[in-house]
Amino acid sequence: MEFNNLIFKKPKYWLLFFIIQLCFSINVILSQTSRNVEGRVIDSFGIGIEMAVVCANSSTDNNFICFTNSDEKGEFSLSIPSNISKFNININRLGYKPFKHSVTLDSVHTNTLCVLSPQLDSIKEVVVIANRSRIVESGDTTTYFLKDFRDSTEYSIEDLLKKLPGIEVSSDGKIKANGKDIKTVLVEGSDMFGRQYTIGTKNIRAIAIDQVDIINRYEDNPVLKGIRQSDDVVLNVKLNPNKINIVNGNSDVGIGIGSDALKGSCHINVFNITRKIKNVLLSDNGNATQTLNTRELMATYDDLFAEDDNKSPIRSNTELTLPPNIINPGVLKDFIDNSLNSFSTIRNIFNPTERLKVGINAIFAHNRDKQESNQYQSYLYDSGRYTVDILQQLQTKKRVFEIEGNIYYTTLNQKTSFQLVSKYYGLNNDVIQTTDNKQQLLQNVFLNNNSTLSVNGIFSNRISTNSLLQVQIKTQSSQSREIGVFQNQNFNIISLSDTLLQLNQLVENPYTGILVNGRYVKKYEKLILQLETEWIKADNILNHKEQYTRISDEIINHLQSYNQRISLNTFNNRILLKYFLKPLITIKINMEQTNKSINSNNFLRDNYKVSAPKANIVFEVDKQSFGRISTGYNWSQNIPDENTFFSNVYFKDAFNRYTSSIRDKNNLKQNIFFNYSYKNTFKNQFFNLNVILGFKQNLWRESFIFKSSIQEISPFYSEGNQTFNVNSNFSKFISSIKTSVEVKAGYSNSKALYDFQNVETPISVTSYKLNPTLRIALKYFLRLNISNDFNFIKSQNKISQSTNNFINNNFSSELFYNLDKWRFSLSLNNTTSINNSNNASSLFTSNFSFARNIIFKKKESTLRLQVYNLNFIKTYDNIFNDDIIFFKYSVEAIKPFFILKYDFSF
Amino acid sequence: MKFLFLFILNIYTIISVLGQSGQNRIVYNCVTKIIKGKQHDGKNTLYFDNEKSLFVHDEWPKRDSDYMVGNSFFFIKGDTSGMPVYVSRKNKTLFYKSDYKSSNLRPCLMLQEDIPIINWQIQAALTRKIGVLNCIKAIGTFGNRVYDVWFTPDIPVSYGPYKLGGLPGLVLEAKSRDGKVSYNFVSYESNVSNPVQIVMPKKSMNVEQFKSYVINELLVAESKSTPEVTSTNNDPVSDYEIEKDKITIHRDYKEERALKKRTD
Repeated sequence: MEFNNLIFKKPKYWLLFFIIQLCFSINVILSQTSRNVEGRVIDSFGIGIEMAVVCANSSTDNNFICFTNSDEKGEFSLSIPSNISKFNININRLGYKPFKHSVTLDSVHTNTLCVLSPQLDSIKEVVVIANRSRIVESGDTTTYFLKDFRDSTEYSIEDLLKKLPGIEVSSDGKIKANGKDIKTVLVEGSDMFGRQYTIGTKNIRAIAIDQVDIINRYEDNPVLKGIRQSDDVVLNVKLNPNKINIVNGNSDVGIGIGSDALKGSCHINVFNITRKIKNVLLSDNGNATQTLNTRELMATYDDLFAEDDNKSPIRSNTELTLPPNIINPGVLKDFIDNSLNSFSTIRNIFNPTERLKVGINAIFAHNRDKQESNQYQSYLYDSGRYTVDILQQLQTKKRVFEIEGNIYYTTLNQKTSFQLVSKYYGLNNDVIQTTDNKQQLLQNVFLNNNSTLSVNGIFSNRISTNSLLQVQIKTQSSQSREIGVFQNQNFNIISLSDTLLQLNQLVENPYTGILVNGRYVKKYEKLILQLETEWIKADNILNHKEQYTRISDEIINHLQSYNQRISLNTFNNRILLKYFLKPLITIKINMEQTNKSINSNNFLRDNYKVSAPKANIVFEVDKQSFGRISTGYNWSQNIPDENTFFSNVYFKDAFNRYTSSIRDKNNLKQNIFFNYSYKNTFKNQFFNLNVILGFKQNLWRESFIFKSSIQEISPFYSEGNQTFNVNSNFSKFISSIKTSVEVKAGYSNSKALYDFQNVETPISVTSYKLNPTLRIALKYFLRLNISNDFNFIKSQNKISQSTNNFINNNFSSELFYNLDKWRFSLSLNNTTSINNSNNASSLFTSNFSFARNIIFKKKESTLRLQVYNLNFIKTYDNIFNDDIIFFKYSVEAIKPFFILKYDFSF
Repeated sequence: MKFLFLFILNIYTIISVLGQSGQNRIVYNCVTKIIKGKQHDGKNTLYFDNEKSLFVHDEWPKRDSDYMVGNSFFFIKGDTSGMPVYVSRKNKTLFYKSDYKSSNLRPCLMLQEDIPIINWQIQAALTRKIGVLNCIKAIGTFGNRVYDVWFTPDIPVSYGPYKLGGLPGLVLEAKSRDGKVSYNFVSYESNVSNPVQIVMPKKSMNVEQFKSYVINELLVAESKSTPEVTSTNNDPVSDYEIEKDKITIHRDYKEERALKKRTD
């Protein structure tokens, strides 16, 4: 304390203290300044080397001090803190040996000359790959090594895929990899299942596979790899080498009691897959399904014959679908109680060498739905009173047999394939419908044989990377025969045979350009020449004209609808010339020689054979961002109806779009249309306005048409949406004034939709898991059709009005309660169908069922015993209209059903 | 004398050629969580030699596509060249393809900018090995995100994934601290047998041209405003791109315009 007082009370000590402090600060500041070290990097000839990395490292611990790059003269400058006096300069450059130089700073400027010498062994390749992990990416392929993902709980491939990061498997088995839909699943590089890959992923055992590859930009044809840009993603399953020749699969046999007969089911799936031979057998037979109350399951067999190839495991012919409007499809399926279905397919792929692949695919499907008498009741309005009618014995049989053989031979530069497809399919449909004063019987036996042989070759010339030569030869022959029975009188309706020979040769070369019946592209110029030859022969169907006239109008309409699909061209030659003058301007000239034809609209006319040379010329100016103008003329020598002048103009900008079209059919028919649409988006709202104004005229009628629609979509809830849509449609003289209002509201998961014109909601299924053992599922489906047509036909001065309403409402709820070995379910179903005043029915069903699983396990095989006991079914038929209210109640007996399941692997 | 001259010339040529290194290739695996989508994700390849580099997004969609999530439409511009990024260290320029303002009718823009200068802090004490390559950690800020990167002085070039670079070695791994962008090392190959020709784009738009282009688009959009409906363009949201808040042209222009209006 005394010392402090001594120092700070006297000014000279203050001054001394200040000077010492100043010196210390200057020293610290000076020590923080840096010095530039300059130098030059040269080679052994004294020429400067640029872009060399120059680093200054500490000479003690080799830490980085600073770094820079040499400039074009090889000169560099390093800024070294002045407290460092000794350091190393390291100079590195690809292709040269590293240079190290020790520097001791004794002055501010130091010029260092660094001479690099070439690294003579630098040409040697170095490949470094990251440590092998569970997931490896290489090129377009991501590989998952499954060993690290297994935990022995997985049964099928699907269970394993659910555990892989980046792969999602939805409840219906569809797979997504990194958010993209998988196109197909390959087994050891072979496409075994097509789009129905869930058959494989749900059934092939997880133990059989070792590795899964996700392949982006998959190109099936090795010849086209690198030529075609593909965005397809596929999943390739690779087999475990230790399990390479195992046979695995699953099977079950079930037996139970139905309403009047025994019910049974049997199915077996067998997979035997090796690298060279792949065999798959799928078979499903029986007249019972496990859950009798689910409409969707009943519909799965119908899917075999659906048009949509996505749903169908086999390719089916669309002509197999039932004729429309003969029966009410909404009510029919609920009454199907006795049906026999069988479906079997055998697939075999054999790879004797890497280049050769032989495949055989055989499918047999048979489906019979039988409707018992007295169970389908139809209520018809006839002559001012309602009558109760009974639809007796409705029976439908569908059969498909198909065999397909494929041979592929592939080398680096070509791929050739031979394909033989032979199909047989048939439909047998009986409907008996009785009324007081009218009896109708329709029986169609529809048989079809079809065989196709195609030869396909694709050759690629890899010398020029942009050339592609594709040659395709295809021959096809088919025979179809249709036999109709009307009031027990047999007659042939159509006997058709056709042969198609097609030769298609395509040469595509954007840069050099070869032109042989192909396409020539040179920057902005395009010239397309195409030659097609088609030959179809059809028997004269009008031989049966007299027989047709005896058939009621409804059946004629039905037959005409068949006929509409048949193009009765007997000979057709066509030449299309398309020339692009500039990027914007195109001229198309199309010439056709046609010997034909029976227009489907003129089905019963006599002039059904016409020889008609035709031509059209089209001039088109097209700038997509701005608009399009096209005009042209169609000419036909012998069919004046087809002589048409047309002109279309189309303009748009960011918000508005204008379209106008004028069409003049040889002064017989004239159409002028103008269409304006406005579309705007602000924030999350969309607003669309669409107005169509038109004039139509032909020989016997003319009409003005005005249609408008307004649509607005705006966020209603934070997670939902609201749609307001107004459509109005007015046309003068001919008729219909239709207005429809559509309102959508609610959350994205639950949507309610009201449309006063033919609305079908998708089957919405909502499932709530109350706790691990209790689950509630709700299903809902609505079909609503209300239309009111007001008809006025000018020529006959006749006014007619018709109203057609149809509502079909389906609702079901199911409650599941799962214990360890027991499973209970309770379901309530309601189907209400109201068809104007003619038909109204309501069906209530409640089911209670329980099941017990008994599982025996031995090694990798599992034996399961499931006992299904369907307790009771209550059915109410509630028909309500003014005159008749019909009520029906029934309780059915207990129907036990036993299933024995066996999973095998050996 | 003539032979001696030719001999020396020959030797010089041989040594010069030996001094030239071939093209090298490094493959990254990219994972992003940006609003724009997953177009950048998957395999990314960097081709480089001493003077220039080419960075390609190998899994960028080749074709245009659009999809809807909720009420919002998303458009993905396809690009067969994989949205390349060219860097010329010699000319100190960077070219990159951008899908900004592109549509199914409007192609991508080729933009030019200076090589970004990143103030790296090299953590010399933190080292690890990736494969056989010795790596050193460095921390730096690029595109408003802080990146932890691992670079290797064993490959003495200043390149890295996307626009990252400027270190005394090749960047092998980079991760942004906000978790939105990461590049992982997959493989490296030197003197590749099938080199890619790296040709700098001849036509490109520099920063000023791009700015005037965007403002022009804005004015076109605003000209469509009506008394009822206001039409305008705005900047992409903050995390839309790998470079956070990359484009602020609209905001800056509107602020400047508002200021000018007020002063007038």
